[in-house]
Amino acid sequence: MAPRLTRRTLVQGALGAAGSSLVPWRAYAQGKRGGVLMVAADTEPAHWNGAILASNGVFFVSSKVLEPLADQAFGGNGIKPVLATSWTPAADGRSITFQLRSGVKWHDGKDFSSADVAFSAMEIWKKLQNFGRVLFKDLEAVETPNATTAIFRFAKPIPSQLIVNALPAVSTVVPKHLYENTDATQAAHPQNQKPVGTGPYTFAEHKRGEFVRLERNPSYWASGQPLVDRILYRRMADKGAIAAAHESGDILLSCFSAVSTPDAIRLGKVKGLQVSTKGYEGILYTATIEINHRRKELADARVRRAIRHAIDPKFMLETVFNGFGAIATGPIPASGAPFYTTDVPQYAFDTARAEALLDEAGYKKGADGMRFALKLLPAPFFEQTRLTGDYLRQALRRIGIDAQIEGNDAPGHIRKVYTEHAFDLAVAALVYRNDPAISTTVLYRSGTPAGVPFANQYGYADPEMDKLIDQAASEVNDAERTKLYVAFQKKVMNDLPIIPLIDFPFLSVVSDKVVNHHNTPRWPCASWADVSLA
Amino acid sequence: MNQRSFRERFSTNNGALAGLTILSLVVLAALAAPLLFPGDPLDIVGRPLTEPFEDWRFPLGTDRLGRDMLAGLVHGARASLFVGLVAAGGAILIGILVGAVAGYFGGWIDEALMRLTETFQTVPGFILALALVAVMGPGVVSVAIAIALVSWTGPARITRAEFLSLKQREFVSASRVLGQGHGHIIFREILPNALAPIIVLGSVIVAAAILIESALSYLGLSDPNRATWGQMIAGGRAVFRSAWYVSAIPGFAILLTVLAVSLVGEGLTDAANPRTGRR
Repeated sequence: MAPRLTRRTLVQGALGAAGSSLVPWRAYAQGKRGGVLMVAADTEPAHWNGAILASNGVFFVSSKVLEPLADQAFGGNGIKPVLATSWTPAADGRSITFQLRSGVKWHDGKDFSSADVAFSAMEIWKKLQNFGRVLFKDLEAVETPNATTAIFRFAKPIPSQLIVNALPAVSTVVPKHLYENTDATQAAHPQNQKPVGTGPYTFAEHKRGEFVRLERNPSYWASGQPLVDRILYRRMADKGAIAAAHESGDILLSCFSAVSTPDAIRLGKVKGLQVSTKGYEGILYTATIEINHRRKELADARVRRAIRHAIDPKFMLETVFNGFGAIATGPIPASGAPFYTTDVPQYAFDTARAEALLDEAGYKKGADGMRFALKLLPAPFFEQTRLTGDYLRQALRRIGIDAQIEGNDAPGHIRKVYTEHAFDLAVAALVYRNDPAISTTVLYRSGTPAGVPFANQYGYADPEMDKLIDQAASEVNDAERTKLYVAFQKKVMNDLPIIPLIDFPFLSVVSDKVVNHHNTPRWPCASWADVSLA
Repeated sequence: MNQRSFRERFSTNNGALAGLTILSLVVLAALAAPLLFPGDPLDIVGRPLTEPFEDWRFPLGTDRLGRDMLAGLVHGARASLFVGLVAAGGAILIGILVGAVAGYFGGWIDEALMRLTETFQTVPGFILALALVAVMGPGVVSVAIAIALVSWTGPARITRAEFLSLKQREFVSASRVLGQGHGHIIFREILPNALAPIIVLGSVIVAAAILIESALSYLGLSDPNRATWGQMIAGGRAVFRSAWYVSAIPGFAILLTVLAVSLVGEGLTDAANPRTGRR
């Protein structure tokens, strides 16, 4: 039997092959003060409110300004306190008490207090946020006995492990006094365009299409931090230009594979630059085909299985991903212990089988060799999703599905797929965040209102699936919970409501001048309070 | 006699002949594309990033996904030439109509049409084309329409100038005396005599249209389901430093084609005007 191919062995193999300069990051205890951190930003979201849209593209900038209750960390139990200093779940699973940091001030000088946490939880996370809507749906109230205590009360028992695992992504706290009685969902809301937070950097200026400027927050709660005077995100849409800017030293850092993988492998050999996949352990992506079940052809599981049979993930991994990644066996990546299982239906690359399934479903080839046409929308955020779209079109045409690619800009793509449902197939890169109940089950649970991105906007509604998801979300016993998620993975791979293809980490390119970087499992979305420049 | 000497003047112009040869090859390749490379040129057929001349199944190599560069190039010629010809044809048609009416009738009609023409001339052509394609949705036809809509002003002005001078001539007065209608005089009497400089300008528009099409498809504003040269360049941009040929080959194709069209256009100009031809 061949050794099991995990993401880690594969990435290590690929990195090893890519060159000796892809070595572990150097870590320094404390850096010197001052300097401007120039960062390449290859996308530009419609707003910067990470509390509403928990997405890495938003966090990349907003997490320096707005902070969560806790963030991910290497070592320990994987979670380190930020705005909360400790948390205690009740034995019955129906409440969790957070002790909040005292002496924290918003950038406008007002005091941060438990009222802000209660407002964020009840009005923003629970009502508006892509993950929070599901995660906090049973949140009844947040009690604030004093300014530094917030007690979350749930209608049903909720696994405390889940809440804690979720904190880094879902618990971005926004100022109550600036959002109260306003429509926070408006992208044009002044706070969404120029957020006021508690973070190490203040949001100074944003010129759309040009740059975002963050300035050092001199009254940050952690003494001695931040170390850098200014972070300047330069909007650079062209990957080649970003690679060149790295070589010329115009930018010191780019994240989320802002340079193409072939260029990254080349840059890794350039003196003074480092390339790695470290710092993305907590935000692995899965290249996934999203499917609109409102199309009658795609509502048929046989057609969806045929699509999966038509795809050669091995080829995709080698070409589109240049070997950085692993073939997805299901909705949870291999690193998703203890939930991950390989005991799920698998689909071989077999075009004959795919064609047989389509014939069986009643979609015979027409005179032109095509069975039916589909509109395919590859997400424009990542090179990997765009190239996957190109590959997918050809793979589908081979089995007689005439896939027509439609290109959109980032806001247009999100609107068309997640609000207007004006797609048949889409290619997305969906994040796995620590716990299936945070990032993954929202893709399969029915009942999400239109407009919530990266959630089930696929018209897929299966009562059995919903029941499984709901049970697991309120199961307090860890072993029982794991069992339910194993059943969930089996059902996903049997029904294929959407199709996971490749689990992949992103690449960062960083100059040797940057000190203390990639030191948390979701570093591009961390606060960067400890970063300094040599 | 005039016809003969025109051909003679053209055929003794080496540049024009070279241009014509290259252009003929490109046209031939475009016409024969479905025979040379049947099937979808976007199909993944080989190992990704095969270098040119490395594997004779793909003489010009393959791109990042393993698509045959030569097939893409030949099929891309269809898109480029289609857009070039349709856009130039459309631009000339609009230009002739506007210019002829303005020049022939004069007066307030002339004023109105020329102000309209100036309005279009003051807006940067490429930006307007970009906006038009963004509104109409990416596609070969919408690109052709957009380019036609931004390049008709040149033919309109030339047609108007020709009409202004020709309408004073005796043969026009003669047909007027004979009781011919405006339509007949414009299209049967004056236009044939005004056509030569307009056709020459047409070749310039073809060259410009091919360039605009490439730029638009480079920016992703063309049909992503068809092979175009601009798109091939854009696709190779990410690997430019490690596999330069993916961008360079279609870039060279654009260069050659535009150069050929321009050479032919220059040859036509020189041939149509013996005085400049003798330079």
